Amino acid sequence: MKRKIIAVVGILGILSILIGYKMYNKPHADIAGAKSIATFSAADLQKTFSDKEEEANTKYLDKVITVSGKIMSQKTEGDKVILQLETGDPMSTVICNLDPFSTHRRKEFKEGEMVQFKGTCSGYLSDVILDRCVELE
Amino acid sequence: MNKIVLVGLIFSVGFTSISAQKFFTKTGNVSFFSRTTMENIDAVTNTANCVLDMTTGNIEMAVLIKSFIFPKALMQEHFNENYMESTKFPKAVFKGTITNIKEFSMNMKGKFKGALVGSITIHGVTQPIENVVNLNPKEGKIAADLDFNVKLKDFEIEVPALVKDNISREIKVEVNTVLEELKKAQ
Repeated sequence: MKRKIIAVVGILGILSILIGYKMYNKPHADIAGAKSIATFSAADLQKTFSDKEEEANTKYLDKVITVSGKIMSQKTEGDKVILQLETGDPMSTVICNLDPFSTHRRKEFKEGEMVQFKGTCSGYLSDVILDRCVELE
Repeated sequence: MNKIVLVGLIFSVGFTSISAQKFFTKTGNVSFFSRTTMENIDAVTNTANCVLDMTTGNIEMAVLIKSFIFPKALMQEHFNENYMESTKFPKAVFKGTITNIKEFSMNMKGKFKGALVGSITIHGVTQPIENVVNLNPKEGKIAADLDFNVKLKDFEIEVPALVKDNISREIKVEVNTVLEELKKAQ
């Protein structure tokens, strides 16, 4: 009897360590497979935030959204790629950070090219910022 | 004809002097580190905003808390939900002045030590800050960097007892930006 209890406790102990370890190391959410809750043009997204930032924050902060627009500029630093999308206002754009945890079809973009990205919305500074972006076909 | 040239000249001079007043970036790098014997934690964002007014020395910097990327998803979740409450307080903001900006010039070689005085708001709490910001002019741009320590207690950031040995009481923050001239007509 005593042996059985020890065995059960032991197995439970090992299981909980395994589960704990797995939770600690759980991967970042898969953006490519995540459902986008809204789709915007870059200009509309910028306007949504510049008009009513608080309301837009409650709706879209931390949510996966889709944005399309023309590439205004690309900045590459090591493996980090930051893309700015045109909105009509060069001082207030949409900034997309390519996801460091996803594999990308390409990391080079041309100015003026139309693109569509899906990413999580981090909020609004002078620009709307999307992190963890992946390009949609 | 001469008049047109003159007007054009005045305009272009006017424009350069206006545009020379402000430097900015939208892609500043901010990272932070927590070192304890139990665990090292670091996170980084590349989309910090910064504007520096060269005539007054006024400088403003803002960063979105949710844009910090952690190597581990769980850390990022805890950071946003439990410690920083980033839905309630989405931004961290620094506002201040480089008091000795008059001594700085774009032609100087090497680093200029700017005396930074201002306030920083994190987690909805504002605290005064005094620091040195290194300004390094290069090819018409200014590399600006600084580091400072943030005491969690000062910003009312609470760490649960369960993980208190895993998170340092004092977090080191590093800011690295390259400021470009703000041109009004882009």
